[in-house]
Amino acid sequence: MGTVLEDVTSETIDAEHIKRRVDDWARRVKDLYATIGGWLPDGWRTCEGEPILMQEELMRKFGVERIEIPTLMLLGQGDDAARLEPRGLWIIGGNGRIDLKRDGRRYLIVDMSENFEAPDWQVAPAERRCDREAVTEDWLRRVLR
Amino acid sequence: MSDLGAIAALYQQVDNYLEGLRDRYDAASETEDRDSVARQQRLNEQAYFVLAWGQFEARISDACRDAIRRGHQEWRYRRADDVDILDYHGWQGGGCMFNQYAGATERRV
Repeated sequence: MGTVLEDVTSETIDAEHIKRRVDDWARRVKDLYATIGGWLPDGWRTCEGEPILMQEELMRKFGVERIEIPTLMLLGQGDDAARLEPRGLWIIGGNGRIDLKRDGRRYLIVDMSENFEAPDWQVAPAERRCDREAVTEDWLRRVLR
Repeated sequence: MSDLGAIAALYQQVDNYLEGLRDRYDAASETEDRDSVARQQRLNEQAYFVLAWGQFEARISDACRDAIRRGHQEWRYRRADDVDILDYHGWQGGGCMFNQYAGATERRV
């Protein structure tokens, strides 16, 4: 099953496929959190935040149990903080989205890979969604500066 | 396509409002309300995507119409193409209609 479009239009997908997609999403989120945790500047640390309930339309349609997806807090000095929050797996134009919020600004991190391929995380400010760039240590440090 | 900028700006305005609402529910630990707003955001996003796609279809439709009119001076030829594109595939066949338009444009431009 190659693309997100095929996921939502195919007549041959089943609950097992949806479950595999959800598990894959949970794994990609966890891996991204680990990567970002390793990129933090000095003085910053991570802390698991309140989880988000994942119960998307395809999961309901195929009777796949809802799951909790963790959020991640990035904590700096004093009140300095940012939050990573998964926003959805089946999204238009991507293979899952996680938002990063900091100081009232919102960045949309989207996996541009096809299903079950290695993640290709790209990010853009919410106000300029076409200005995408790869999620890198340099990008994170600019955001947390 | 000239409406795309306005559509994107309006989408962002509505999404920002919903995001603010979602943040307030989140801060108050009102998770059901927060998730309800998240669903509204997703629906809003899908609605605006369809609206933007409609602009794209309109652009293709205009290009095809222009190409058809340039290609045939006689009405009877133009009429045949119009009927084939608009009536045969119909509204339900959006993808087919798109392919037909794109094909017609490619052949005639």
